[in-house]
Amino acid sequence: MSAIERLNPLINAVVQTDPRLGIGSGISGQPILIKDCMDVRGLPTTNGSSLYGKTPAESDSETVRRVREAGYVIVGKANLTEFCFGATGDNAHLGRTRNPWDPMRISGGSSSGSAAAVASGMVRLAIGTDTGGSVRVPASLCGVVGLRPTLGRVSNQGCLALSLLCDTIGPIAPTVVEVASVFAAIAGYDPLDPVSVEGDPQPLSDIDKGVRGLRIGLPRSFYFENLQSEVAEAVERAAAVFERLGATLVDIQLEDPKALSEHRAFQFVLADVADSRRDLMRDHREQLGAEVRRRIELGEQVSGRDYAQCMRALWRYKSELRSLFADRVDLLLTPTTPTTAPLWADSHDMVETTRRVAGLTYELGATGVPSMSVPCGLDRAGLPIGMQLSAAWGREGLLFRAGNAYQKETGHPVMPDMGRPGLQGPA
Amino acid sequence: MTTEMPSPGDSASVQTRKALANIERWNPLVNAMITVTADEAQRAATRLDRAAEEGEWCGVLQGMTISLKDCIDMAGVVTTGASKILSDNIARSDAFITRRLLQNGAVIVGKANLHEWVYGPTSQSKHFGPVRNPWNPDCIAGGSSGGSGAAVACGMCVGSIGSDTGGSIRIPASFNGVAGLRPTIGRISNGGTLTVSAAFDTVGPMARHVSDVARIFDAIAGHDEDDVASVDRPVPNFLSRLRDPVRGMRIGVMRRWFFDGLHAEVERSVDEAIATFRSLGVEIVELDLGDVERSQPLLAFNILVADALQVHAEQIGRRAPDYGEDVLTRFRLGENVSAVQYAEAMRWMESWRHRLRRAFGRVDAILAPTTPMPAPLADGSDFIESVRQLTRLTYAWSFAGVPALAVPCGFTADGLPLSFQLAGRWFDEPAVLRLGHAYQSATRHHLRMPVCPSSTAPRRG
Repeated sequence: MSAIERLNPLINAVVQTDPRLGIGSGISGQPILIKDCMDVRGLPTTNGSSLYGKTPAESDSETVRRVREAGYVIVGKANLTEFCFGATGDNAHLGRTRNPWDPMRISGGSSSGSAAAVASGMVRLAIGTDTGGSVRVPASLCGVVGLRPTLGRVSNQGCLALSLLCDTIGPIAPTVVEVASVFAAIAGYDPLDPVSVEGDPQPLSDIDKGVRGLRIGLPRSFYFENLQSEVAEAVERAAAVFERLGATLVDIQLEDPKALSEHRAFQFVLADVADSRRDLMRDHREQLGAEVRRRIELGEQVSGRDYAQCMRALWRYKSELRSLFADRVDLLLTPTTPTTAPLWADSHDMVETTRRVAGLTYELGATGVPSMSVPCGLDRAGLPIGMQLSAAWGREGLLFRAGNAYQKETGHPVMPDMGRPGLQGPA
Repeated sequence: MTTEMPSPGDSASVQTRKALANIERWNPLVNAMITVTADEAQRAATRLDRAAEEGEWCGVLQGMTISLKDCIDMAGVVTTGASKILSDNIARSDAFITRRLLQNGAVIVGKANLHEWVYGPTSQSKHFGPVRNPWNPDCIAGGSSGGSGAAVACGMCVGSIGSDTGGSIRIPASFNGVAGLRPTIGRISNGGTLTVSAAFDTVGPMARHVSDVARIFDAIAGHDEDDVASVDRPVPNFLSRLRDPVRGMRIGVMRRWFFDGLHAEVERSVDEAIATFRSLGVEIVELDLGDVERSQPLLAFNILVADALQVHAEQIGRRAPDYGEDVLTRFRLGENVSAVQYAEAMRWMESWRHRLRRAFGRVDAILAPTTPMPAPLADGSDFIESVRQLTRLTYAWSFAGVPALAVPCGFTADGLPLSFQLAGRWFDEPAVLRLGHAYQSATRHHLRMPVCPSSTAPRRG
């Protein structure tokens, strides 16, 4: 709690702490922070908006219930983009979450507070949500590990809905081992969640098995194009580490993501969000943050025919990934974000910045496969770079194996020195 | 004049001869077939019979005569989709299921008429003429698999492959007095067939006997890696258990909405069917599945019209005058759908599927009437309203993606067939087929045959 009190005025990652946990309250169990779009009994859920959170939540969301049951202690709620919708980490109501590596830069979003709190050392564990990249993008930009699980693996019950086809909940931590432990606690079938899938995730049994014999695919087109050169170099170095550890690298060409991206195939998610927020857009349009409102309005303009086209494109991409994972590779390796964290000064246009930083996460997320961002170095400005590992549906265990092997080989990620001179006061 | 029905017990050649004779006799009246592949059928039948004489097993269909809805490719034969635009569209190769049928010993007798572009429930096609109902030629045969339903009813084939997006197998099965299975989405490949909506289209078998529907299903179900919607999941060996007793199985019935506003004779016959299941030892469980009334408007008008327009928009831009007016109007409805409306329907779909998952924990199948009325007159003054009504009860199961089997369950006083549908769990076609077969073993509705008024001249228009 003292780390939160000391650092939060600068970073603004935590929007409320549980008043039942004072300093010296003698809590036992590992502290964990919950993104403020999930119900925690007794605390209001703001969803990053001025329109929610008037009263405390009456019960825990399913994920929070499982977190508590596993012995973690919920210390508070993390900042987020309004309605989890946008990847900069700005919030017109709660204030922006700053990047602990450089407060002049964006933290990424929408799980901005979850990633920044972990990166700055306020907590070691946090829960975020990921619809189009909202765990992976801030994890990448803040230099921590973030998991988007398989669609339906972690219950969304009691969490704000954006898109039933894409919403997931996942952990953020400095290490793959910690992420895997939290995932093991929250994963599992929930009969109350319409998209929950049955099956035993068994994520931890293989975590120390290494990558020897695994085939890692590098989709050269699209995912390795238009990158900041240091990002490309860092991911190539990470690939070389995997190869040295006994994995086989396979160059692959994925046809669909490029076509998908060019045809703006994932605009269906904008429409899903406009549908999920239709009552607010009807009754309280003016009370939404201007950039979030503008992005939802883009969703309102998409045609049904385009939505239909998105669905067909998505099916084709899923089919391509199915045969790829069935026949050729165990894992895919790509950058998580094409650049390191941009400056706030260059990110006023939230829609454009989101398109840029989430450009490599949207398509994979929509197919429902699990992906994890793992830090893999710093650029010349000292900003963290993230790689994205993806596996077939239900194979989170492979992500943990590879990510853990990488961290054991290269050392755990460097964390920013939060006591460094000049790091004071809101930028 | 009585019709000599081809029977699966006949040799392939005898069955084919009877089927072709019935096509010759009936088709001028009901217009069920667009293309007849008589020569190929006879050759195939001869080959199959010779192989059988030599003691060779030719597959589970053993010479069964089958027609294909004319949206399914057969190499070297035209696939018209009942559209002027495709009237010269010779298929280069077999559809996945055509291949499977032939590999399993089917004799394909030809291509069945349908609603233009697989896109309507009446089969009143402009370019290839309307399909007429064999039980009363003044009535519609239903659609879009209208030719398939009529062809099976009057013995042009033992089985037919139809396709179903919102009800296109079950509605003509109901109106023509035959059984028809809409399988689980992804269970049977759509490779080599015309698309209405990739997410909701599925081909499926039709036949008088549920046991024949089951055999055809067994022959064509299974994964096709070239169809992105196909699901890679083994097909259980269920034919040997088709005749297992159904005592102790549970059927859910939702009286509200599914039984509201029914034609009196539909209600009576479906209630009798429920009583028959009770007498077979099936437990009937009352269910309430919530706002199922939203299924038809949300699937039809928020999703399917957008999906279908997405498929056709470019071609409509070039060739609008070559579309029938009715289908063109319906395609253009898609222009008014927003993605937000589409998203709303997708959200409802998840909620509906979720409710059904829970319901199927309590019951093995859910029984409802297939259509709220028997086949309406083709030129009735209430035709538009009829069209809306006759698709009312089939959309719910399409939306869920679950299998649904239409089974004939009686006749009106005027001699028009009546039908119920059994919806089952995802990938549990065996359960609905078993129940449907048990029902037919206890009843004789499916054995009644239409009488061909062969002395009358072919009708026009």
